[in-house]
Amino acid sequence: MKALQKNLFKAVVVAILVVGMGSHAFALDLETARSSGLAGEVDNGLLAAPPGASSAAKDLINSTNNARRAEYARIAAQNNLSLEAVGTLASQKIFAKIPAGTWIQVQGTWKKKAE
Amino acid sequence: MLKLLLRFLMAGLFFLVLLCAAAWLSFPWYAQSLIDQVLAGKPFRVTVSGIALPSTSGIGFQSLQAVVTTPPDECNEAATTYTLSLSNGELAWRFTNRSTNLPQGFSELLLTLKADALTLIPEPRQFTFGDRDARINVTLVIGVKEGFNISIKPLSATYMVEGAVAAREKLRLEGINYNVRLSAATQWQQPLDTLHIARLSSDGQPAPMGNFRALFGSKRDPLDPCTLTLSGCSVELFQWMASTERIDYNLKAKRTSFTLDLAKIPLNALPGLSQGKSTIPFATGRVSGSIPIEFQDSTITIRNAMVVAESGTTITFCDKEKKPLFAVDMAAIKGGNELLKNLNATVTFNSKEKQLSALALRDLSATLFGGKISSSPVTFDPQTKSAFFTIKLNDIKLLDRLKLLGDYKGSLRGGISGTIPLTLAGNRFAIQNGSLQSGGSGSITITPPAQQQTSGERILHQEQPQNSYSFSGPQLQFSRSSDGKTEVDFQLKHLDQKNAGGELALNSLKGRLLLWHNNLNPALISLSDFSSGLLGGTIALRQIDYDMVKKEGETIVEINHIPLQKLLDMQGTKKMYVTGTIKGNIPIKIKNNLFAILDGNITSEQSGQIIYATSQEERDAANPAMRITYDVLSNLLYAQLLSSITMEPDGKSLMSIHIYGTNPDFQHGRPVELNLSIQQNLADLLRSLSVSSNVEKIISDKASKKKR
Repeated sequence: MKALQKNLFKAVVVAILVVGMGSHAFALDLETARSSGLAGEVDNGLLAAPPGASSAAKDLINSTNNARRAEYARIAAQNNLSLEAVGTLASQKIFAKIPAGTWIQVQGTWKKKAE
Repeated sequence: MLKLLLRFLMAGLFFLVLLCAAAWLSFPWYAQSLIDQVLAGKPFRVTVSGIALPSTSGIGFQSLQAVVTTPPDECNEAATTYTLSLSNGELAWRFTNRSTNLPQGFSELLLTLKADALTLIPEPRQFTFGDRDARINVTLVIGVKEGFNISIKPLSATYMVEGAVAAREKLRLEGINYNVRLSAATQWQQPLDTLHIARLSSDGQPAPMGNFRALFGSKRDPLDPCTLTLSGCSVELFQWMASTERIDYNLKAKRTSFTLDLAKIPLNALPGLSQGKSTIPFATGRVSGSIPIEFQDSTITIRNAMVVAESGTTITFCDKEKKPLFAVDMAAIKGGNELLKNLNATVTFNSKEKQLSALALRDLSATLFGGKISSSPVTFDPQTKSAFFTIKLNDIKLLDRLKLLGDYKGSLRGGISGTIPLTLAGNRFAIQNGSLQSGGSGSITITPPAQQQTSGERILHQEQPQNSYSFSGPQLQFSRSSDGKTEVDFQLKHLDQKNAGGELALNSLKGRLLLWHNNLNPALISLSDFSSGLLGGTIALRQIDYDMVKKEGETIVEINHIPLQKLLDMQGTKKMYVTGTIKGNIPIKIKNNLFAILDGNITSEQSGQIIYATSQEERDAANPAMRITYDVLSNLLYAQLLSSITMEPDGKSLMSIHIYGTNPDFQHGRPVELNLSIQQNLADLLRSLSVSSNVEKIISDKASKKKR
């Protein structure tokens, strides 16, 4: 069981790296979008537009989510888990990584990450 | 000389005989003037006509009319004139020797007045009284006093009323029985005797009330001389026995007040309810009640009446096969057994030209099933039998009392509120924009009758199909014209259907039903403007005319904004993830309750993503062609998804899906076109709520074929 958790943890870390690499072209844009409040992180491991945000980052959000979903699905299939479970695990890692003040959505409620 | 004297005597005798004969023969001509002479100065007069020749014991007449006027007194402000009419009657006389202590020269004379018909009419006309084969006995003491003055002293009078009729406007009291017994010994006071009225009718229609019994005598309370009292009263109301200790009628105020006690009346005696189990509602249990009533100036006022149902009192409704569907528990679960309380109403009989012109009901309100029911003022015109009024319901907790029976199980909660504007015209009724709503909810489970299972089915534990429905927030708006055309606008906050195959959740349902609106085909039901939330999207249909007899109809089901992922979730897919929503038009034809889909089409509303997640082991095990499919579907960003669907009435269906898109990780994102054809029996899947086949299986099957 511990081995499975360890492997899964590794997989999720790799997923985040892959997603980061996958969206390398948007890396700056993603960080800018998050820091400027155009995109926020959701506890399902995907991006979404926070309340009041314009649709400027819509394409970025879509493409990033597509990439993340594909990777989560791959990990899910590998570990016999659901995509949602992997996404939830990934969100915890993302929440830990992003700077304070970034929009995050937890259980349907938007808020800014605390210091 | 002797001969001459004898001749004179003979002539005198002959003259006397002739005189007597003349007096006897001419009595009918001078009888009236004789009566007038006797009654001169008396407060009453008698007119007789068609007098026959008298016999030694009686005399017949065609009609006799006696008019007496009673002066105003402390109880009656105006004089009242009573006219007693007798037709085809006879006055018989007979001397009796019943009294032994009569003075010398006095005798007791029994007068018997018989008539085919007797009527008594007071003026002002408060009522009319009629009796057939009336017989009135009057006993007199008659004699000659000093100076040859004739003395007549009445001793007693009796009149046995049997089957008489009293009427006031259109209200008739029939079968009246009462013994009138007046005597000088009792100062001409009527002693207590039982008044019995067999039947009541109004405007020729029998009233649901009869067998009224009460003790009545003319003796009054000296402290309250204007009050007539009937005691020990009982009446059958809808065949129930109701009673009241006393009814007081104030002659001066013309007001009656009493409290009617209904004691443990079987509910099945109510009109419209039966004792046996049949299609009409049948009832068990008993109700009791207390109804304080006041009657004054043609107005009946009911104040704070109460009806209580004993435990176990229910009304059960059945279907056409006489199977019980549901029952209403009349005894409250909470708050005691009060079925109806604080019932207030005022009923006025409006008279016009001595005819009952209208019946007005106002201030009707009551607490029913814990809620309030009230009505706007009602004026019922008996000529046209028409009335218009609005019934208001407020938080009537009827749902809590409903028990589902037979194939139906479940529970319902919440109060019902609304208004029902009703128009009565003749024997028809109409409703204009009635509305009923409930904040309540409920769940209903329908289990079809158990069918005999094969041993195989029993071994495999195959359960009988069962559908469970839960709903909340029902609202109805409805109108009904007098010819039966009915229009119902309905809304539900949510409706969930669950069965072994899955769950279908609909929310924000609304639509319009038209019933009996087509004179040429009353079996036609029309559902229009139906829409509902489904899986986050919507499902709607503009119009369907369904023939309940032919069991056929045709419509187009429109779906919009349905998330593809929700459809896949319904099938329990684990490896496939899809984003995006779909819309479509699905023409449906129903015949003999079998569905057919005629060239339905479904398309994606925007671009999206399809992921068919496979593990490395699955990829390694797959053949090259399959591996390509897996690679394409690992992250397919579709630009367009098109699907067409047809289904035969037997359920055989063909679904063609065309997907156009790219996979950025596959061959540098070159365009990909994926075609899937799915043949299956949709009817079985529809019945179990699975709206599509198992796509994963289709892909695997396709892969297997390619591998071979």
